[in-house]
Amino acid sequence: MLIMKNLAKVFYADRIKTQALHPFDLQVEQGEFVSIIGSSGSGKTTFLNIAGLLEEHSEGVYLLGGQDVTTMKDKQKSAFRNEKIGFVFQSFNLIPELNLYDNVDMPLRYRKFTAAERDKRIMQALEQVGLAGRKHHYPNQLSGGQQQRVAIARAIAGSPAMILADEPTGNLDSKMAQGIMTLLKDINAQGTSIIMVTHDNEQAAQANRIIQIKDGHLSELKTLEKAIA
Amino acid sequence: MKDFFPILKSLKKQKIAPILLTLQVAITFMVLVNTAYMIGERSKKMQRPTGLDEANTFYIVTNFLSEPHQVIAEQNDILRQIRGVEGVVGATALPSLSLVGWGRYTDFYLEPNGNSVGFGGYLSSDEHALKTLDLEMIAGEWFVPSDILETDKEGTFLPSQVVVTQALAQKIYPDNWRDIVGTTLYFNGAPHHVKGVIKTLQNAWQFWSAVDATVLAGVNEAQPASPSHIAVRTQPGRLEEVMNNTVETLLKTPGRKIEKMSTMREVRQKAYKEDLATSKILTAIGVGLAIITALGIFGQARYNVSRRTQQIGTRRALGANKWDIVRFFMVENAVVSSIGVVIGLLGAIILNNQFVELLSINPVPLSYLLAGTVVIFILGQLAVIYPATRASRVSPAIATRGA
Amino acid sequence: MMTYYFKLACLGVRKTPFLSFLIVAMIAIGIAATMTTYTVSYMMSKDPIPAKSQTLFNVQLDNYTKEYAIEMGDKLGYTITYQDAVNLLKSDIPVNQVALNSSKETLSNPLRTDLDTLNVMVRTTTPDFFRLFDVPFTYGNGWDQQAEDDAAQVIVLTKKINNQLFDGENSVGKTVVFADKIFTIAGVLDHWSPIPKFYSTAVDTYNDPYDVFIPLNTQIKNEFYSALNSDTYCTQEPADGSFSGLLTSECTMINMWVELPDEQTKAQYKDFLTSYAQQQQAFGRFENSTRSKLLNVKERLIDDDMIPNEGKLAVWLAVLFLIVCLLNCMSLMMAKFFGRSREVGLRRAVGASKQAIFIQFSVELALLGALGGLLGLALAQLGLNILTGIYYYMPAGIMQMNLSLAVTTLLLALLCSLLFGLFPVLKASQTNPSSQLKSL
Repeated sequence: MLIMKNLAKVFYADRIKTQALHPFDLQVEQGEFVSIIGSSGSGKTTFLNIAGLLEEHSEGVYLLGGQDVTTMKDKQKSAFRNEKIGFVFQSFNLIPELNLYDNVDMPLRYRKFTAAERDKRIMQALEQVGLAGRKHHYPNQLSGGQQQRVAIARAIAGSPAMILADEPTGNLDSKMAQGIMTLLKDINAQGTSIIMVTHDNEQAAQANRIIQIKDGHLSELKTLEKAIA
Repeated sequence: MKDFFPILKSLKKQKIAPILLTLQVAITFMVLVNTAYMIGERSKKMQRPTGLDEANTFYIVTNFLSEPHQVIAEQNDILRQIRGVEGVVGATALPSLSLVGWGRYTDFYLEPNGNSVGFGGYLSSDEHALKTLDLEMIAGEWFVPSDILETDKEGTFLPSQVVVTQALAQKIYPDNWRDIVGTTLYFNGAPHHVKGVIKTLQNAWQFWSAVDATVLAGVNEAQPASPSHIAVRTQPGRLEEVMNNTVETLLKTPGRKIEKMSTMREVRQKAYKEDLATSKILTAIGVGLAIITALGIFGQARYNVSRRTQQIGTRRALGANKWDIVRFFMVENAVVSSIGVVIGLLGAIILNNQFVELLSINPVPLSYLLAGTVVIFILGQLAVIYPATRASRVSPAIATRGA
Repeated sequence: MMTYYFKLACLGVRKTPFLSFLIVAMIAIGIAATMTTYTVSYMMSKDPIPAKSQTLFNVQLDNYTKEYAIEMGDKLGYTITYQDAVNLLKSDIPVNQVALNSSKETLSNPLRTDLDTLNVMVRTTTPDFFRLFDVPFTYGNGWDQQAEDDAAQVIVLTKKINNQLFDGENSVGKTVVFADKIFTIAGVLDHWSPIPKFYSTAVDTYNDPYDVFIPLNTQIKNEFYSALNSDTYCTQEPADGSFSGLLTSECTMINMWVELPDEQTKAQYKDFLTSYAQQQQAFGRFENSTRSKLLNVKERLIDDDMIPNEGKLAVWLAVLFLIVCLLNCMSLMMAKFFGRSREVGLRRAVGASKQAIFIQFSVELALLGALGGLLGLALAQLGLNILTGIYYYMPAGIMQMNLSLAVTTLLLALLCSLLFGLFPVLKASQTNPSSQLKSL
């Protein structure tokens, strides 16, 4: 469902060319759980941004769900993000002025759902992350792990084909982190592809595939041991 | 000045916010300069003296009860009655009075059929006017009783003895105004002998360019259809009392009516009411604008400080002291003000040209432009001081905390 | 979706209360300053009699001496001589025609000795006055041509005077002592105060109409006259100082108005004036020319400079004031919306298009604009109250907003905020979705 061919990213900052991502090929099938590892500054986030249509690539081809995103206008891209992709961020990015219900509602508002349809989806998503009972609470009344669950609910409410998670457990202690991992795996088991950026090798190992980014070069690891070595 | 170029660069990079602020400063500058100038001009105009002892003078207009040919006698009788009131310094009858907005004017000629050498207002009265109107003779002589003519028609047409104000004398004899004494002025087809020059006596219209150019003829005039303005000067502080007693005295005559009565203070207030109102509105707009612009500068600087906290902390960590930080913001504001003033200067000149056409006022003199520049700079620096000091208190430790 | 945006707008306003308040205040202050000054200027120069402003004409004749004519150039006097007024009134071309003069006399209610005798300003006029200027009556009517011809001692009171002397009761048929003579009340006016008061002189433009009205012939017969209050201009000295001498002189003192409903009657009347002037010239008058002019209401107001420039100047300055407020607003909006770039990034990441962000912020902007407009309306009322104090010599009616001005205020606030907010909102909606999330 995700095909990248000869994809590369070049930055120009103060007239200095920086090759953030060297040309690479990548294919992710529906239902796969892929983790991306690499040290900070290696290009992980750039990769995620491009995969999530937040940033444009410089060269190569990117097909998402069989469609070439290179030629898409902002409006199409936005719609694509909204329908096909769910985001989970390291620092949750919930809107503090909105309660949980409205936070999950946010992406749905940009789609032509009826109020009843939205309500159904929001409640399903919140139930799946186990927070339906607290829908009227505000983010600051929750623990970090709970906040991330809400963020996940927000990501899955629109039934995306793929979830992009950027260090989803980076701000959480290990117990909470495992809870989030379990939740993500559950979601994956229901058929949603997940691409997760992480620096935690243990978590990375829980994925079907592991991709390492090093100085802008992508390489697929057969086993985790190789990455550590 | 080591901050100067970095500031220019940073302004250039931010683009929009400094442009907005610059425009604001420019408009404020041009409006401020123009309003200040207009207020200044008005207050100069309003402060011109009438020549009268305004605090202790009022005028009164009565009706006439007698037959047309007897009104002169009736007027003289009224004058006698008023002069008899306790506390009156003097009383005299004139066809109109300073600033009342109703009166006569005329062109002046040096020869019967020559070209006009100037124009001015016409007043006439008897010898009592010297004391009553608080006139100051500065050349020639004042009327003697035998100079005074009496008429029940418009006295303007009679050959008479006159005194002129210094302003009028200067208009006719620009080189040496004293030369006018002893000459003959022609107006309204009659010759008039100039006996002397008085310092100041304004005529009827405060808005007129020739308000200070007045001729005062030695004619005691009483027209049946248009009763005279009787000016009354009182001893200091007795104005109200004398006014009441004058009315009481006059109304003892059956059928006597007081057509009009007003103190010179009220006359002045009424004459300049529009100027005063406009000045107030201009002041409100000027002050309001200055406050709003200062708020704008303040808000912008505060926003900049909070946005640049990281940058400021890094600067501090790298060795800038508190004063360096304060100075950065002050110089930045000065740069914005300077650009604003330059644009505003052009705007002010354009705007002023508009107003010159619209309101026939003179162009703004340089001194106002300079003063405006100083005010804008001070305003800007004052507005920026608080945010700048706040910025200087940013802890250098913030730099190590990471983004 | 719009309700969602509206909800977000309210949240957005609440999120940055101080900035939002400043923005609203800036819009309000600027709008208030502009609308306050504009209201005064508008009321000062509005059409005082819209239904007839094109069909009422001030009659001007040229009785200047040759010498005086050079000084005056194109301008003719706004008043004509008494003798010309009498002659012109004989024409039957105008639908209505009036001659106006004035005086100042005493007035009292003989049955109310407890009340002071009033000094009243008197409008002396011909019977068509009330019809020609659409003057409303509470009680009774004006007088007819018969009363005019007879110089009858009848009087019409304004509402104010009737309130003072008769406590506002129907006084028609009762008598008053006017200038020591007995007059019968023919009518009492309803409130009537055309602004500007176009039919009289420039110094009088913003005063209320005079207190009472009597027939012109009654004034002439009784010699109610005072030069101070009768607008007399003499370019040639009268033959003698008496009142009858004044009436036959070249002194102008009558303001004459005619109602000519169409171009045809106007042309007809113009011809009549020309032939009248020629006839008079044959008698030895009008030595300068046989010119005549018909000025309609607007022309009269402009020609006589009856509308002060001060009002326009203040509007000019207030508009600049508004621009400064709006520039200030724009900076504040930049700060406000840029401060929200995190939220924008997030919304963009979850699939909001630039357009959606643009609409969201525009709705917030409109909300701020509307609030600013409402506050501005209140401030403008305050401003007008203050102006009533500053312009104490003007009728309070000038310092009042009508409905259309109030609506204009709100629309202007909305328009200004959207116009000046457009750029900040556009900029904010362009925020790159990745740039804000990366560093989090």
